[in-house]
Amino acid sequence: MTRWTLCWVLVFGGVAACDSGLPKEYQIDRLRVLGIQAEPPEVGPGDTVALTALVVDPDERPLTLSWSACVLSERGTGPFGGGGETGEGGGGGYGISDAGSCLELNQIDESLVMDLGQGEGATLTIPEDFLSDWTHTARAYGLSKDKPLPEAARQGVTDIAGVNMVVTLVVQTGDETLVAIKRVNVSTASEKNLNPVNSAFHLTGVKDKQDAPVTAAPPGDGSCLTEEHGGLLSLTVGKHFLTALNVPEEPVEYPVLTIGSTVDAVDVLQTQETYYYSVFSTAGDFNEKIFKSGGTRRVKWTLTEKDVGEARLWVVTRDGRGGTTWCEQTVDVTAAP
Amino acid sequence: MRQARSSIGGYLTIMAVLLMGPPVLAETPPITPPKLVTFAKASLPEGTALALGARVQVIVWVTIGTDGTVTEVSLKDGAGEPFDQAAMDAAKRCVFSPARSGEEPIPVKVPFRYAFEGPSKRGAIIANRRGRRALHPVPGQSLAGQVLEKGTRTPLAGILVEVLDPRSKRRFEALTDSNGRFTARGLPPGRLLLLIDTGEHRAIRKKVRVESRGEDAPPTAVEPVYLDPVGLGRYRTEIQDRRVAEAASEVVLTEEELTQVAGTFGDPTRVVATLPGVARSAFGLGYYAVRGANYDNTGFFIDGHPVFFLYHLLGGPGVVHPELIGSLNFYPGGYPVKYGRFGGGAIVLKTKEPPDDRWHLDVEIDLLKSSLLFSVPFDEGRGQFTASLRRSYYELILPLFTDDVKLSYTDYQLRLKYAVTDALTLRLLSLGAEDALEFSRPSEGTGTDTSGGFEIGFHRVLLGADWDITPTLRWTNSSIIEHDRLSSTRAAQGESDIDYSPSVWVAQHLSFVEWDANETLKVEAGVDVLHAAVDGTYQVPTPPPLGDPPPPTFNPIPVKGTFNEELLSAATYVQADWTVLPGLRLLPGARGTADTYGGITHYTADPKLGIRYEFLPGWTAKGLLGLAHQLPNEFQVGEPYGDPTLRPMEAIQSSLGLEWANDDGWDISVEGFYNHLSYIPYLAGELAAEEGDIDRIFWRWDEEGRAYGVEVLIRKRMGGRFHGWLSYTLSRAERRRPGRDWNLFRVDQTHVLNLAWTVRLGADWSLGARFTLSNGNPVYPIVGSRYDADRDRYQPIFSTQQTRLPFYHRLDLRLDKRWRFDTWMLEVYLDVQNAYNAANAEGFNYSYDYGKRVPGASIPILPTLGVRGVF
Repeated sequence: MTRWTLCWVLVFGGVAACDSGLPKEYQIDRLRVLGIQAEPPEVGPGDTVALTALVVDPDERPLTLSWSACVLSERGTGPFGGGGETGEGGGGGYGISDAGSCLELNQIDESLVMDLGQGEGATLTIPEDFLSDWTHTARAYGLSKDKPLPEAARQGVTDIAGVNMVVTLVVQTGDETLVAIKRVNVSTASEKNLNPVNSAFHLTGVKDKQDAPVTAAPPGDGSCLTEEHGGLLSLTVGKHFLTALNVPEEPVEYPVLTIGSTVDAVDVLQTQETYYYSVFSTAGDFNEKIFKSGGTRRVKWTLTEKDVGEARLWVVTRDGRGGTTWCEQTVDVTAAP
Repeated sequence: MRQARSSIGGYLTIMAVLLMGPPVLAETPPITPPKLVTFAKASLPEGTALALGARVQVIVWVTIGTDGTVTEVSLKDGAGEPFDQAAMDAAKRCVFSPARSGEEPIPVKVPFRYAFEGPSKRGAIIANRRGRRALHPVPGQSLAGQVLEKGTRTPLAGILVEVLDPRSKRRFEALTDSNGRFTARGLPPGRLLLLIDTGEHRAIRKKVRVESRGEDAPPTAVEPVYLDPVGLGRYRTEIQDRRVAEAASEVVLTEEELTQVAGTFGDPTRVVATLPGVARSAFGLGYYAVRGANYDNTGFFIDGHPVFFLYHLLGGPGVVHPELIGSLNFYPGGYPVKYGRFGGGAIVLKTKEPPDDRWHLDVEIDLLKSSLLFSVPFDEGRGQFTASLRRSYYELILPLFTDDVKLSYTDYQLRLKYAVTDALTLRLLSLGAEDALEFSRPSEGTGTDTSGGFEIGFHRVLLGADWDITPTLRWTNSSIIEHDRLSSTRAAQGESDIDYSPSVWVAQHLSFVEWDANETLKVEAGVDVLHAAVDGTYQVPTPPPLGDPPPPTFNPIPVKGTFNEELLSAATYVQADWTVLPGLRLLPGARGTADTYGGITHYTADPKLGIRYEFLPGWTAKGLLGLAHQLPNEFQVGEPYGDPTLRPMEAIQSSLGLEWANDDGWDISVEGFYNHLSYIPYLAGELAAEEGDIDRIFWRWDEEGRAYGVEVLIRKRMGGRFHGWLSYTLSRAERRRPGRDWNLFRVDQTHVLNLAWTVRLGADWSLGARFTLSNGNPVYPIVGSRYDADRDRYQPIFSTQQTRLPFYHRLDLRLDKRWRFDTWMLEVYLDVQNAYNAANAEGFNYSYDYGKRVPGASIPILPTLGVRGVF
């Protein structure tokens, strides 16, 4: 059955949009920002954050990275937040013309933006009064600046949810510009989030039917793959499983503030951290672009004859609450024997 | 020459009375033809004579009013003077019992034949010895039979049956009665010829053998004679459909119009998409934005009660078998106040009466489903029973393409009607549907299998009683009990299950009185009480936590709960149809409703005034002004994210227009409209700090809307070789929220053109076409993107200026062929949607960074082949 036959069968049923030959997100064939790390990802007022970015360019051109920070309206805080082509932005308290990055906010009111300079990294120091100044919380959550919450209620918000300082990275080379954002959560929580550590991955052929280990020593040099337990560092064409290792046996539990999960209820729920692994490569196809720490923790990577040669692999690990880390690996792909 | 005289009995030829198109289906609604009550003889001028045995025939058109009197006579086929004038003068003096559509008298135009015969050897009047005349019974044998229409088995009334004795060349005549039966008397025994030649059917010439029997013996019986309509005579729509409009602005569609429009797959409710004021809906789904209102502002009613679930899933057909739908009234605004609770238009379906004189079976098979419908009268026609069942077979087809989607649907209807007395009729209608959709997304061994399903179903029982208290006063009671259910589930490895499964019990009672006060005033008043109780369970995602970015993939934090809501809605209404002056009708109405939900009672009043003024014959000015309210739906007011304080939406509706109609079946309507909508609910998802606490506002209801435009409808009604309509709407629909300017409504389509036309090609072939041309919907173009490093996803950057998707254009074709056999018919049809495979984009598909886009999916060329047997 052809792709298009399935398409109109499903679309006639309104089931899903179909593959239309558009580029796949995991394929690295152009300048991309794959991740931004804030170390630490969650801080308190007055703390300092180190910012770095994973930027890849297959053409290896010189890049200029510019950093800034500001407070933006949260997007997606509503049940169906976000703008759309057919209607003005709704949900999340923002409109279609609201700024979505510090670059855009700077054009509205540059006094609201902190310039962090240029370079491969940057440093952000959170103002001491960041949380005590109601205007930041009001802007972040679309609340009235003139009606601050009582101190007790504000404390509840800052203890659990905090307020995000949004970092904006502008990557420029030639006439090409990319804009990326990253949230740094500022809270008064006693236990703050940390970036994931001990990132390691195991690669094996599907036909080998070899189980991946649960843990292994991380490579330590920023690479992804471990040779422990028969892990591969070079591959032949075919199908492979890439499995995430060192997933905490007991996921970290932490409170979240949802508000209004039922009418008139303010809910503080306990939830567990989940790790999300985004894969990118210069070769091959993945059956999914993001896989999670739940379940088998693995993704299928298929390489064909056209992929023979050197392939680069990146895996960015996120904990779903701002924590980020990544690894990079070069692998040799050889033809089938 | 001897004195000519008209025949003793006028020859009344009445073509089958059809409101619903040609009697192609035995299930055509019961149209009772007019019956001659008083025959007026045609008098020729003194001295006019015909030769012995000569016969002159004059056929005139006679228009019979609702009171049975002849309102107009014109010549159809003349024989010259003085016969033509004599026939026309006499026809004017005839009196009939009026034709009826169900119970309602309707005006009709029928051909009426006068035959002038010269003297013959038989039938002489013998004067007795006392000078008084006496009629002697005609001696001889009798022959009895029945005349039916071929294929439909519809009895044909008023058919002239001749019996010819080939030996003596004598002719004997009889007329069929309302059951199609005839008895020819005074016949000689032996081999005779049965002759029927109506001019609209293939002539019958059949040998019969009349037996010699005693005086009191029953007549010789012959087998039924089946007449095959030919030429345009098979399209017997001499009925002038001038049924009285129930509202200022109304379009009424009849059976063939509902089931044979190309591109609708025979689904009556989808035909509404071709009418003026209706925006084109994506993918041909049958939900409509009418005159700028939202999709859910147009109500669907079946036999007076609202329908909550009208279509099967994924673009499937309507849930009611098309053959059960007798008529469809479309009100783009200002619908009669007896229907309520919707802020836009109304689509009112009425189920059809099956034949009361014979059983009927309808079997249909197409590429996607099969259906069966059976009806049978009982107790000498006092009662009728109908049952239908339809079932899809996607389970057989989809596996040829994918194992990831499963779909099935079923619907059924049972209908029972019984006339307990001439004045009291009881009705029972049971209908229901069940749909199931399952999808799965295997992970190819990576342990992230995802599956889910969506089920929806409803089951309704309606009990009704119609009591004609007096000839001018009718009291109708109608109650429904209904169970609706919906189940939406999702399961994925490593994630919490999602389950949203409300169940609703609905009870509604309608009780209303219709009073024909006099010829100029009709009044209807009634009450409408509806109760709905929602229960069930849910486990759904909470809103995204504050401070945390939305996760890279769907990973819900679930919240569990149970539904427990009730709605009580009680309304009372009164409406009138008042002919103030000849041609000037006022249609006032008022409805008051009390709706209680979430512990809050909302009171609304819906006054309406429609005016229709026929200021010249065939020319009518029309206007309406009214108010309509609509409750928020259960999702908007119930748990977990509803807001019971939402108030009903309000719509001010107005229109002004002109209609023209002629006797040849042409109608033209031009109508301007302006609607204003207030308190439109929409998803807000905002946070608010109120009274010292932080809360979430899921819904707001401060959006307003406006729509204005002009609608044109040029229509050729059923009859003759072709029928159809051209509709064009020029309009603008907008929305505005506090603090913002007016913006185009997401389904605003400045120009919408529909041409739906059916041509009868002869020999029971018909070809239909439908062409649609409309603006694309407004969109905010995506002009860039930014990368969200926490979500690993790009956010689109929208332009603040709207533009439009490309123009939409599509041609649908339908070809029908029917074969008539004596007692059944076979129909084959080919319905092709998007015949020239136009690539109309319903939107765009974007690359992950919104840097590239391709047109989104649209309906490609989609043929359906169907076969149908009608018995």
